[in-house]
Amino acid sequence: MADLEKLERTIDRLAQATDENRKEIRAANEAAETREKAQALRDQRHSRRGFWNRVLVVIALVGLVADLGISVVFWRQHVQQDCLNGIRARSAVVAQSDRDNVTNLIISIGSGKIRTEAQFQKALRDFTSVAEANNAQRLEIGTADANACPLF
Amino acid sequence: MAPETNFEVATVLLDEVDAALIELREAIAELRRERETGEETPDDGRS
Repeated sequence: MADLEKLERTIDRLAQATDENRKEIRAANEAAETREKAQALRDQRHSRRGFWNRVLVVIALVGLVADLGISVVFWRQHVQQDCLNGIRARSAVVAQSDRDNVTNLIISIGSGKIRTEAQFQKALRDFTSVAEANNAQRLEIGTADANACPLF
Repeated sequence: MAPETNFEVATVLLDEVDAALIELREAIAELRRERETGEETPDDGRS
């Protein structure tokens, strides 16, 4: 009987070792599953972060483009305003010249300086010459310069 | 359904070891009974 008892003790040890093995591999498996879940969570977070980073980049680019667009619009409006101011200034000069021309003619007539037909004809030619020059300038301002200003 | 992971394979192997140990225990018990009664059973071919 001693040999059978020895065999039984050996079987008991084997059974105990089997139980321990089972516990160990179960623990190892649970640890591996935990690691996999953590990795999956990290990957998910990383993926989400990548998505939001791309969104932020797109927003920044849109903001940059919008900013540039607004700057260009303001710059062009500024240029247009300068151009229009130049036209107004030149128009004012021509208008003043017209007024002076008329005033000169009236003064010449009213002051008695014109006594002969020849003097009258000369004064009329001077007046007409200035008026024609002013008309030419007005035409130039109204076409060439006005077209040169940027339109929006 | 065949085991797919290492854990499942190891579990199956441990189950087989447990089953073999149970069979061994049964064989020992049978042998003990024979010795107590003095009977002998015919050899079934197992070593």
